Order: sequence, then C-alpha cells, then structure tokens
Amino acid sequence: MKVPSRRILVIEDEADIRERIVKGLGFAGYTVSAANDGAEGIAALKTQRADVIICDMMMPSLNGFGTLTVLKDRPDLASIPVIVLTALGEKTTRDFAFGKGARGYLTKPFQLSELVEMIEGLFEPAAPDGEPV
Amino acid sequence: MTEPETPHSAAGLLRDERPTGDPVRGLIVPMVLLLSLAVVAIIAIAWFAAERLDHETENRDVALARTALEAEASRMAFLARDLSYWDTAYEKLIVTPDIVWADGNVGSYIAESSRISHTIVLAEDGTTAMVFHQGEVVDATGEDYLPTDLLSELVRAANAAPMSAPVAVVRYGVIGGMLHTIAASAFTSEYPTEAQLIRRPRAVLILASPIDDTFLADVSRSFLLEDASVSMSLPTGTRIYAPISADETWATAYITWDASRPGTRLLHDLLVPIVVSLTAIILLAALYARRLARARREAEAISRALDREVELRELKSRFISTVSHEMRTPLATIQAAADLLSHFSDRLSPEEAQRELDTIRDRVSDMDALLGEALLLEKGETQRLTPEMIDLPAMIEGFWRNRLPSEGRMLRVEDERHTAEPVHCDRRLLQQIIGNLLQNALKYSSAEEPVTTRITEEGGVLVISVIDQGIGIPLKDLHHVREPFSRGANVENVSGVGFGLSIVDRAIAMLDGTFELESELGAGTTARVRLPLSGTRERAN
Repeated sequence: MKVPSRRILVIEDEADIRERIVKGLGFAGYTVSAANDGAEGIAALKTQRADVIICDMMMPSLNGFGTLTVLKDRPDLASIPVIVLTALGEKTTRDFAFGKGARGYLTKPFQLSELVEMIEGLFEPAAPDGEPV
Repeated sequence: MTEPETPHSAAGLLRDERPTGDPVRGLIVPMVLLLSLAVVAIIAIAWFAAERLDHETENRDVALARTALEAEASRMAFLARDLSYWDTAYEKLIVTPDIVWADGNVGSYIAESSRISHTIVLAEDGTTAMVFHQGEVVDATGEDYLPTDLLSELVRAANAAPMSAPVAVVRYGVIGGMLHTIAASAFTSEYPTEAQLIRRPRAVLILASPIDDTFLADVSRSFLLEDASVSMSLPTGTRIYAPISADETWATAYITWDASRPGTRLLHDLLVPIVVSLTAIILLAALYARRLARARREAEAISRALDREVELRELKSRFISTVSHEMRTPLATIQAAADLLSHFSDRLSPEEAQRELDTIRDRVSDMDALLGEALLLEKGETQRLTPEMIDLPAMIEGFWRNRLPSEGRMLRVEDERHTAEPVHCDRRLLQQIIGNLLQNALKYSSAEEPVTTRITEEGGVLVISVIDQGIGIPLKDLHHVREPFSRGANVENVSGVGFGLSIVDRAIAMLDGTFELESELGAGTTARVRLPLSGTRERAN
C-alpha cells in the first residue's frame, strides 16, 4: 500500500476506529488529520486543506447527515470528495449520502485496503465521475 | 433500518375498522326507552281511537233511536192533525158520547188506516175517554190506561195550543205496563165562531201506539241496537238510552240498549298483538345488541392479539437491526487493528502491535458481553446467583480505570455508610447494574459534567445512586426507558442499543431490589438502586 501523498481529513467519533484509520492511512502514505465530530471537522477545514474527507454518520453534536449538508452548501468546500464510513447500511442513508454529493460509501466493518482503493479511485482519470463504489 | 411494512399496514387497517366507542351498549337504554315510549304512545292512541269510535257509535245509535221515535211520533201527529174529519166527530161525541157511533165512524177508520191498536178519545174535562180497540168497543175511562196526571197534562197541553191550527202535542205514556206513543191534537172548527173561539170546549184525541217487542225489534234491527228495551227510569251503568220525550225537558221513559262498543272490541283485539310484537321487538333488539357487543369484544381480542404480534415482530426486527448495528462498531475496530497488524507490522513497535492485539481481545469481549445481555433479555436467560464479598467502591473505580471511556472525566465515589464493609452479592449482576448505570451517566453527559456514585445504607437496604448532570430523560420516556430497546427521545446521535436500563432492571429484580429513576431534562439523571442486604446474604447462604 504505497500511494501518492494526499491530505485526508477523518471525521469519526469512535476513538478506537479514528486512531486506527489515522495510523493506517498514515502508514499508507497519506497526510492525515482527524476530527471528533462534524463541527470540529468543518472548523479544521478553515485552516487546513483536505483532498478527501472521510466522514462517519452517527456522531454527537453535528452528525454525518448535517456535515454532508453543510459541506454541500458551502461553495468553498463542496468540491472536496467525501467518503462516508458508517455502521448504517440502510439504503435510505446511502441515498441520502449520495444525494448530498458523497463520492463513496463504506459500511463498517471495512478493510483499510478497501478505503485506500476508494480514495485512489477518486483520482483515477478513467473513473466515471461521481459513480458510487 | 428496514421497517416490516406488511404487519404495520394490516394492524393499521384493523385499527381503522375498530369501533371508536361503545355505541351498542350506549344505544340499548335509549332504544328500550324509545320502544317503551312507542308502546305507551301506540296504546294511548289506540285507546283514544277506541274511545272515540265507541263514543261516535253511541252518538249515532242515540241519534238513530231518537229519529225512530220521532218518526213514529210524527206519524201519529200527522194522523191526528190530518183528520179534519174529527171536527165533526168531536162535535158529535161532545153532544152524544155514543160509543157505538164512535166505533163505527172514528175508531174503525183509524184502526184501518194506521193499524193502531188503541184509539182513545178524551172529553174536554179530561175524564171522558172513548177507547177503540181493534174494532172491538171498549168503554173505559182514560184512567184505566193512562195515569190521571198524565192525562191532565195532555189536556192542558192541548188547551194551551193555539186555536188557529191543530197542533199536535206528542207524549208517551205507559198503558198496562207497556209504553205507548201518544199523539194529541187540539181540534178546532174549520170555521169557528167568535164564541166558539172563546168558550169552545176542547177535546183531545189520543192515538196510542204501543212500543212493543215488534217495534223494539224493528228499531234494533234498523239501527244495530243490541237488546233494545224500554226502561221506565233513567238507566244507570253502561246501558245506552234515548229518552222518549216530546220536548227536551221531559221524558216518560227510555229506550235502552247494551252499548255497542266496536272501539273497545277493536282495542281488545289489537292490544295483545301490539304488546306481544313490541315486546318481541325489544327482546330482539336486546339480543342483537348483545350479539353485536360480543362480536366487538371478539374483534378487539383479535386486534389486540394482532397488535401484540406486530409489537413482537417489531421488537425482533429492532433487536436484529440494533444489535447488528452496534456490532459493526467493535467489528470495525477489530478489522482496523487486524489490518494494521497485517499490512504494517514492520512499522509498528512491539508495544504498538501488542496494543492492537489487546484492542482486538477487548472488543471481542465487549461483543460477547453485548450478546450475553441480548440473550439475557431476549430469552430471559437466568443465571445462578453466586454471591461473594465485594468491595463496592473498588468495583466502581475498577470500572473507571478499565472498562469505561472515562479519560478526562470527573468521577466521584461518595461512600456514606457508617462502616464500609464489603457487600455480599452476585458479582456479575452487580457489575451489570453499576456498569450500565455508569456508562449511561458518562454517555449522556458532557466531558466537563461530573458523575457521582453515592453509596448509603438505609435500614438494611443498600442504596447506590448514580448521579449525572447530563441531558436527562424526557418525562414521557421515563417510564418506558427500562424496556428493551427503548431510549429517550433526546439521545440524538449518542450510539446505543437501549439495553442498559432493561438489563439493570432485570438484574435488580433478580436481587429482589428496586430501581428508581429521577430525571430533569437538561439537568441530569439520578438512578437509585436499592438492594436488600439481608436478601443478598440469605441468597448467599
């Protein structure tokens, strides 16, 4: 797993998972920062750039649904691709996420390699734009 | 979460069809009242109609009887008035009361023309009478046939009549125990002189026609009178009568007959069927209402069973959905830890690698605990109590250190017992109680809000209170948050299954304790557990 350096923002409230995603993506070569919830994540985007956002759905304070909505409504942030990473597997959640412009959707439990493949898929020129993975 | 649609809509439909109130039971009393009123009204109307019918029949019969009598009387009056011939007869009789002549010239004429039985000719003094009897001459005074006062009355009435015209005065009298129709007329000369007008003696002609059985039978037949008879005095009781009189103030006798009462007969004929049919209607209505009520009760029972079935399905569905969702988080951690160990073992220090392994074990243990709790709730799995001596504050502190995300939290234990002796209790149950309560307190309050566990003893009862200052539980949810999968409406995105308080509740029940929840929205929750110390000791023995 060796990939070009990209900046990834991980928004995830479960510390166990968050820490391991940060560590794993870091090992894989990404520059990773993390936030505890949606509000913290959006605040972080003021000062740092992100090429990809990985976002959980069930979080305290601003949850994934709210975060996706805010991101889509903000012209300066709307272009950042978002991958949703959640324990919610229902079609309604999936539809909501893609409706809000999510570019990928991974259901927990997931493999780090799957996540890396999905991130890289976003940057492959041949990949159809916005196609769910 | 996928909702089970079919049972929902089935229950919904059934609920919609369910009667909203109890209209049948509510209708019975007014219906019976209404029908009773109808019965009374119908009977009253029938009664009134019958009375009216009887009254009209009576009026008609009386009128007809009167008409019959009047017809008879006027026939007699006509005879008396019509006979100008009597002028001569009168003259002759006054001068020579010759019975033989009278018989030959008067009586026979009348007898022939009118079939009158008796013809009595009275002299002006009221004492002399000529009686003609079917051609047979009978010499008799009027007293023999008529009471003296009646005869006097007849004469007086005749004399009072105007002289210019022969006006009939009609009376009735009883002769020989039989009522007679009497027509009386004052005779005047066709061409009276002045002197005659003043002093002329007056005579009275009496035509007596007996009201006998034949006449009464004719009247009865003609006018539908039943058992018509003649009564000499005013009849009492129910007999109907027509007075035999010449004017409206005086009656000599009465034709009487039994009341012909078609209304009463009709009423008798109608009342029984009316009452019977209305009683039947009321009975049928009551039976129908009972049947309807039973049908509704059955429908409600089915509906309740269906609701229960739907509820169970929902519970099961929620159980699977919630547990699978709650499993995914530790599974994700395990997967991530395994991925780190698998792909980046070269980048991990031995301590880091060990930490990943420990995390995997911890999460597996968490999941096992979750499944254990689920099974306890779902199957009512009972566990055998194995009491042991437990240092309660130490157990609570152990939770903080090892099992709860308590990093950076303000946690206090206040042991207010006089002697902090160990508690004799089942460790696993006590852990489930305290662990779940502490976990809730931490989950539903923010990092800066303290969580306090207070231990007291009140008369042989151990009281453990877990107090937080978190979001609280809405009042409407307070009573059902102890049910499996139930959570306060305000939990928002705090993850959870809704097991905690139901596990606590069940564990406390197994220890014969009680459980109270006090909460104020936005101000915090106090969970108070009371465990009988003696009870746990007895169990221990």
